[in-house]
Amino acid sequence: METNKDKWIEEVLGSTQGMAKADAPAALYDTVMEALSRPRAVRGITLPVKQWAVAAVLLIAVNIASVVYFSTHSRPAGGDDDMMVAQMVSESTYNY
Amino acid sequence: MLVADYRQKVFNTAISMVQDHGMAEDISQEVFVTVYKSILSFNGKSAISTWIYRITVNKCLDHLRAKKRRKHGIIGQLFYGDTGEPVHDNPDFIHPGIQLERKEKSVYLFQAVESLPENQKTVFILAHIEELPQKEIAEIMSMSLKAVESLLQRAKGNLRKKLTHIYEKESKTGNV
Repeated sequence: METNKDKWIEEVLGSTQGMAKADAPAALYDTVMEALSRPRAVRGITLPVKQWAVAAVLLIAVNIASVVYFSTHSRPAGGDDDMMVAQMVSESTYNY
Repeated sequence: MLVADYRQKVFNTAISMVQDHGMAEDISQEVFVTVYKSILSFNGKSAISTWIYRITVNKCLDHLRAKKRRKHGIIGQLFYGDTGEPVHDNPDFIHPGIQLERKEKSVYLFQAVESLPENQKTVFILAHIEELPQKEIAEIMSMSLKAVESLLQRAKGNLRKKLTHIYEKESKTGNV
């Protein structure tokens, strides 16, 4: 037995029956011709969202990698250069 | 002349797909500009109406995707992707060709159609609003006849589910 709900759904689904076609504004032809006669705008290069995302992730990854590399490979304080400078200072002090 | 011959088909398809009069006008203009610019590359393997319908459907889908991107933003798109979720700015849309006594009910139909996935929505509109034969729909959408039949069945099933949901919601408020 058809319930009110089923009847309502059938009526909604059938609401396009006998519908007319919607028509475009009469000025469509003129606007198309005007658009065709317009000089082409120079557009910038656009990348899709996913390509921008990949580029951003790569940039961040390179930054993180460089920070990690330089923090683990930096020379320890008191290395050869520091000792040499300290020696030069002390030698110059004794000469006076 | 192409515009005179096809403007109704193009506009009717566009307004049914995007449910927005202004956007449908823009799409119609873009479709004919594309048609005139690429008419020389039309290979004639399909009917010219099929080719124009294909351009129209693609332009509509492009506009709807762009609208969704504008609504969710780039970050939202990255995290959630294309969920097929409708961007419904005009829930009370009434197609201008609907008969007066059916207008009220057609609002619910277009709300439900808006919630369908792209392919199902396209097939449903071409079959039930443009009243095209399934063979032509298959050519427009570059798919097999069986795929079109299957999409149409799924579209109708999903519409019934959505309408059931709407009925239950509206009956609580006494609107139906």
